[in-house]
Amino acid sequence: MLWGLLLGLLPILIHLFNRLRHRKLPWAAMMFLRMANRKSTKYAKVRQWLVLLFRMLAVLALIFALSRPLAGGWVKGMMSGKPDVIFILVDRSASMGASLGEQTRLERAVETMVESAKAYGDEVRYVVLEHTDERPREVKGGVAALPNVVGREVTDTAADLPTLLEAAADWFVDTKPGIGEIWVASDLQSSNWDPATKERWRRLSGKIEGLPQSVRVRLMALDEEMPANVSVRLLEAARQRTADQVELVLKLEFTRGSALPVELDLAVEIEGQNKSATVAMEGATHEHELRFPLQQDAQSGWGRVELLDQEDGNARDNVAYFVYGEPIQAQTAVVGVPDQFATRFLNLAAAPDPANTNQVSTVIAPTAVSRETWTDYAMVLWQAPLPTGEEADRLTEYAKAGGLVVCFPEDASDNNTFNGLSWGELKRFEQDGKTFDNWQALVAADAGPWAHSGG
Amino acid sequence: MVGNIVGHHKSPFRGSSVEFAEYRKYVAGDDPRLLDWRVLARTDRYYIREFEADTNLRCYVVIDCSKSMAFGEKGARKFDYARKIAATLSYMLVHQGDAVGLEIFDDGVAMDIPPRRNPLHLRYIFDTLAGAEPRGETGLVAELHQFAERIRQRAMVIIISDCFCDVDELLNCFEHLHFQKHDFALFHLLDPLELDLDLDRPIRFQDMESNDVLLAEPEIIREQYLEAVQEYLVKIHEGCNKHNADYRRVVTDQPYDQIIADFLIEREQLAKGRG
Repeated sequence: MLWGLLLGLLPILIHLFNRLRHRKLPWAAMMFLRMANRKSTKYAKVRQWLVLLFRMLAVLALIFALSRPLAGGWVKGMMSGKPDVIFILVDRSASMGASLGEQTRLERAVETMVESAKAYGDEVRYVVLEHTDERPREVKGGVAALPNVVGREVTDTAADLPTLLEAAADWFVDTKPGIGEIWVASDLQSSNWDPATKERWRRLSGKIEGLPQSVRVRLMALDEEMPANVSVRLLEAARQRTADQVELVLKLEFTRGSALPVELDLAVEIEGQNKSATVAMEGATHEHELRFPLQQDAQSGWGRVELLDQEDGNARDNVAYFVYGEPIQAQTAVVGVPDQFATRFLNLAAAPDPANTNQVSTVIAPTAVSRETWTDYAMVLWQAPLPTGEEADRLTEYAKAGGLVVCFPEDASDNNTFNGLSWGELKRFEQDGKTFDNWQALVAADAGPWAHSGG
Repeated sequence: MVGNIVGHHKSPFRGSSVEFAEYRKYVAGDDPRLLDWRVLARTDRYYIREFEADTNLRCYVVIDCSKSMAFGEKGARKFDYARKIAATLSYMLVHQGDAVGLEIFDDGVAMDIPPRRNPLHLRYIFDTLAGAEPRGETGLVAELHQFAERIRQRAMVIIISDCFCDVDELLNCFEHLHFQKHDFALFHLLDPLELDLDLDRPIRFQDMESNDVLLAEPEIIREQYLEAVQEYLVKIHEGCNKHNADYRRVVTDQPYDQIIADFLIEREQLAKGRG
């Protein structure tokens, strides 16, 4: 919309067009006109320029008003009337501790917000929600109390801005205040804003727009680039067993403002033991995997990775902490007749890679289910008549405790009911003139909803 | 008025006539036939009786035919107005036995008709006036100088023009005519719009003679324009008075017959005053 500011040139075009448009009058007494024009030229020119200037300003003001700029619009915000409530969201994540000269980003954000709030005075309610808060806090004491309410120390945790905005929207729904504004102070770190969840953002946007009262969102972006800053982030810490030893595998991500190659010295602490490493970094973002041998009996542990000799603007993102342990085994129980096609199919789907010992599947015959302890499994795939009686109760208990039960229909009709659910009438699936008796036939024919699902 | 034949106008020369003028002492060289013998017999003094000699008028009507004369608000052109004045005066002069000539100037001499006093000549003048159209830039100043030199006998010169030229140069022309002892009158034609510039919106003024264009806002420059017009009119009027010219400012929304009547009445009163 602000491209419309180019329309400010419209008066100039109109002015030029008008010059052509003026009525032409044949005139005899030109000698007097010339004399008069010479005398009044200066005044006429100044007048013309002033008229042109005011016309342009009028058009620009109109376009600016229609464009309703939001981001960075603190000046406009102050000019657009007082809201009843200002809801302040503060991102106190580690990256907000980055230094901007003598202040951190957080300190500058708080200072700017307090200064902006002074323009509104004490007639406005102030509500603060920091990302470490459980619920919004109303500021008692007006603007003067605001600096004491908002914390100036950053935390080691990441902020979840979508959740904070949702909480703010909920607060507006619950308390039903008048016109409001949501002020967000953040350094726009993608880890805090989670831009990949587009559906969530769309819902959030709709929620704020759908509020009964007018609520504006104003963003104080503190995203100045800091080329000198280098940060390290832990992607994964895993304990892996190889043929002859146990290793700690650390996957790290390094980020810096410059793309020039650089060597980074790391200090790695594992269970109190100091180790060192060097990483040759290329590009602005670099992923690197480090392996450290562990003792055979070291089932779990903790540690930290620290970038050395990095006197950059933000010391907090120079350290990454990690814990490691035995990998959790995801075990699935497939209940069905062992030699049936469906049972074998489900068994293979639950654990497709026999070499992966962390994802295993066990086939249990329907007659043997009473001996099983379901809590040993992460998931139960039920390819048998729906459970009834005691077995049904045990499975229900297991599901309530967090277990996952997935039931599949049998070829024959099943009149059992499980937790109020039962199978309906069996229907033959038809496609391209062919009739399939069961879904296994569909899989075998590579048709229907399972088409192209397997090799 | 200097003329060759007997007419209605008083001659500057004394001569034979029915109208007694004055007595004058005889001086050597005077014609002895003019002596008043009765006075000589009674007083023994030599006096000569003088009489007013009536003569005819030689009049030149000079019309400015430059393009600026074509200006006229709502189609009433200055040149048409000038034609009416010229035709009317010519008619009256010829019908009282005076000789009338016509000079039409644009950027040169467009037409030069020497004075005659017969009715056929009047027809010729009328036809010439009817066929003339404004064109070109004004050459009034140069042509008036040449005109003043060209006519040898003293005559009456009636100039009809908007006088949109350099005022000082125009006044030099008048001085020249005055120096040649011509009796001249100026009908200064102006359109009402030229006098008050009663226009509001910005207008592209196009010079009718040079086609130059000037964009101006009348509302802004009106004050300066009126000042310039006023200064110019005062200067022309004073210059005419200085050179004994009869100055007539004619605004083209006035009835032309009234203008001519005023002109003739004032001339009559002036003649009586001189007599």
